[in-house]
Amino acid sequence: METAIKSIEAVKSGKKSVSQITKDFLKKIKEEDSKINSFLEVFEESALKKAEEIDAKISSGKTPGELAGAVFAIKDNMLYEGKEITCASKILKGHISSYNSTAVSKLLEKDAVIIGRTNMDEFAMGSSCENSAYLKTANPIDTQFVPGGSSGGSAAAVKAGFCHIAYGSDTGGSIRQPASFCGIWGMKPTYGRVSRYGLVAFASSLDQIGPMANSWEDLLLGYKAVKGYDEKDSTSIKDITEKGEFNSVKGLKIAVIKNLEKLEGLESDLAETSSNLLSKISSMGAKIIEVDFKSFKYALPAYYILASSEASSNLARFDGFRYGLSLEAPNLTKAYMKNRGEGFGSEVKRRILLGTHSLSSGYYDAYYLKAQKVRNFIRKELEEVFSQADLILTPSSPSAAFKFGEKINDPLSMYLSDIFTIPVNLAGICALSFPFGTRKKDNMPYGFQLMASHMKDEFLIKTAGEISCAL
Amino acid sequence: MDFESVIGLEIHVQIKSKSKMFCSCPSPADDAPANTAICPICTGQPGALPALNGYAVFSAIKAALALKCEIRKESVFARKNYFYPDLPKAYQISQYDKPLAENGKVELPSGKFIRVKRAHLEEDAAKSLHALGSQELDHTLVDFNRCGMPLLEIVSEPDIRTSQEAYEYLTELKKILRWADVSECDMEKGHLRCDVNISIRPMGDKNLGKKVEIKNLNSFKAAKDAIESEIKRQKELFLKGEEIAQDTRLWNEKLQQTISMRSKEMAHDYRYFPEPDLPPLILKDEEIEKAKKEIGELPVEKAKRYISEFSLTQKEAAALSENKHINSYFENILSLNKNKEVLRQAVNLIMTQLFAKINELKIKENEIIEKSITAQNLLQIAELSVKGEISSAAAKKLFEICWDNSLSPAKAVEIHGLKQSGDIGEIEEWVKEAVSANPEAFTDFKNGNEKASGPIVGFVMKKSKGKANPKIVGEILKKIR
Repeated sequence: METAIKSIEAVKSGKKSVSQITKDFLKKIKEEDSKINSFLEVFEESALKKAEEIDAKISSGKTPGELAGAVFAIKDNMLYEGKEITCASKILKGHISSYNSTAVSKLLEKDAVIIGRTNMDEFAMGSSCENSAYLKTANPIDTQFVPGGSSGGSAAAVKAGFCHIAYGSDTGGSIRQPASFCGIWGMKPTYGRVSRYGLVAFASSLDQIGPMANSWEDLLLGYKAVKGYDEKDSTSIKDITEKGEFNSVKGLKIAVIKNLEKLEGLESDLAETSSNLLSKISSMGAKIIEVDFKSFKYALPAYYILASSEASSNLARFDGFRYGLSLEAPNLTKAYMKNRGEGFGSEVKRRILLGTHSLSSGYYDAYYLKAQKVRNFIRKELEEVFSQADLILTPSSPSAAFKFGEKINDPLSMYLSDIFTIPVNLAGICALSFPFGTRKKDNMPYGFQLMASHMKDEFLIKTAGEISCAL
Repeated sequence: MDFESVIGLEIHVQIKSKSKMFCSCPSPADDAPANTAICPICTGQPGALPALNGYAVFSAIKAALALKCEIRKESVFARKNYFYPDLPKAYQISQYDKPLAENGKVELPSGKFIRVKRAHLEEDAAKSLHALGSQELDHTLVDFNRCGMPLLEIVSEPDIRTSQEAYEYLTELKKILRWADVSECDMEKGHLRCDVNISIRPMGDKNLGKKVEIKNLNSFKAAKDAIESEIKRQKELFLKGEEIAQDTRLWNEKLQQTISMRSKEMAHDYRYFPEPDLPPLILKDEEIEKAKKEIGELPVEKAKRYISEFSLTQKEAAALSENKHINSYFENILSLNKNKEVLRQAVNLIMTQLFAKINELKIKENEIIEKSITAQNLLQIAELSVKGEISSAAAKKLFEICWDNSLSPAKAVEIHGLKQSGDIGEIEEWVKEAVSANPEAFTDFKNGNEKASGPIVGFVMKKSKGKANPKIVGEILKKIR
């Protein structure tokens, strides 16, 4: 399949029309998505209309936006005015976005075509897409396997060739883990780099929109298309200057975490692939250094306290009155109970309960506050590592994709899927997952994560690109 | 048995601002149709995020400084979580453990200080409507116009002891907030809402009694009445040996009593935590300095200065300091004039003539008095009077003439013939006439009753149309006694 960059060039040089590119994708979706189920809704009509508008602009001699020719999918938690948005939850069924998220605005302004909204774990809580209230998305490489999650629909859509670039949201690994399971690229930008305005919040201090693509070049394009300060998001970064300039892999210092291979649950093939990757990188002239990451093991519990606490508050507005599901009940309390009882799935309820408890009077200090201290500690420890190294390399997830039903009844084992990605969100830094190697028995892909410090997003993508080209 | 009441007030003040606290929705007009000043942010649409209104922050700083609070340079917004249909996000963005301001005080007219524990910023909730006009509804409607309006919550320490003190505290607070231009504090329009915390204890007891909260008091009088009624209720329970329940109560204006709304067991756990959508609010020194400058000297401080420096009475000092526009007029007088006698006369003119005008013409405070009578002209009238060139009666007349008139007082005296007459011959003629018209009074006067001269002097003044110098009239009368 052609990359977004190639398609944009083809449109520029007049070899292809945006309508043709869009139609090709729509055709492929029609033929193949019934097996994959990556889309909750395909925006056939509006995508074609937008494509025709762009083509008309071009034929009238005007210069189209810089994304003319690129086709995007968005996760079902990014608002697109006039379209339904559900976060794959029953509680939002039928809710129509009344405004555009900043990310969607930026895409449309630059003449991107948005082809549909993708499936996800309900409210971005999960690692397999099995928590969607609507669809089970399959891994396009082998449909017995999950695509990962929560941005599993976006990962599958990219892998299956239903769009050039898809956006996901990443709170603890929701872009990088499915990217790794589907053998594609996925990136979580530095916190505050992409506006969260119009992204339905899961955990506000951790959420970040990011691109997923088949190549590092498209990943960079997808990142640049949506990055930047937004006055509507008070947590977005005002400073717009990227840090670090990429020259060569040679001479870079890449840190690996000591004793990580001994981690319980880490697949043996993955450990082997990992050391294979390290030797290749070091042969490119990069220096591999081993570092301690003492607080690593506390990241997962701290994350589940903090993310669930914020989620319990963020999801409280879904009460059955103003949007989506609205069931009648004899009184106010019963209306809350009925709508929330029937509207939310079990994983969402589990996290609301966990978060509500962590914030309750008498428990706040022991849970929320302690987790916040862990978060600060992790931030500092990672800062220290970045004072000695340019990047940190880990696997993206302890295993390659698992099969449907394998972990859905064991939340803790599901949560472990994000053990490597979570510290990145807690520290607010940037990281990406790129594909390398496979599990021998079934050829399912492995993904590796590279982390960089704040605002080094472009440096990160370019370095990873250079590495992957040399592999 | 004597009891002491321990009372603290929590006041919510709507900050006067063009837009809401966290979105750019315009502040709705009082008569705006329901749900017309709303947007995705203030109605809590999924994905919407708050962005802080800097003007509201600046107003809050001014209020905090006027309340003599310490300002926290880095304060933190927090979410207060609870479910209610008037709260669309199911949390209110407020401040919790790191409020904008702490440790202030408000001085009552008695000189007693009520300490202010804290003042913090938060957003208002929507309005629930249970009736339309007089028609009760079987459902509740929600008007989100008010939702997200900026509020300043001011919490006092439990320093208040009586309903009267509570009333005075509210009155002083209102004066200060209006002075600082933070809020109009119109309770009828819901600009100011008051909750009361109250407990009683036997006089001399150091331990605090069970605290009862009274909510939704919509006038200063309601606050006063509710406190009185609640003190009475608690005393009666105490004397009967019954326990006072630590509950939240509502004031029922019709029944003139408080009614339990929820018990302690039903109290909310608000699960406060730092608002992740807003970074800490960091204030710059320049901003605080600018606020200080804008507030300047407070009315209470001005009043004190007027009494000590210019020998004004308490009443005069208060009248000339409370209202910003009258005060600036008076300050102008002070800066233009250094003569104490003239100032005294000017104050008299303001207290009588000017205030009468303001009342008569229903002049709103924001209208400029200076336009109707300049400070210079008022001072000139006072000076003419002090110099004895016009009588005090003529001074009043002159004020009337100069009001809304470009004529200078000196010129007006000439044109209207108001100059006091010092011509002894002329005055003697008038006195003679007066004596013959009031023979009884003159006899009394001759017999040593000084007060009996009144009708005679009055006659002269009337006859002379106020021109006769009363001093000379008195001297002539004494001579012919």
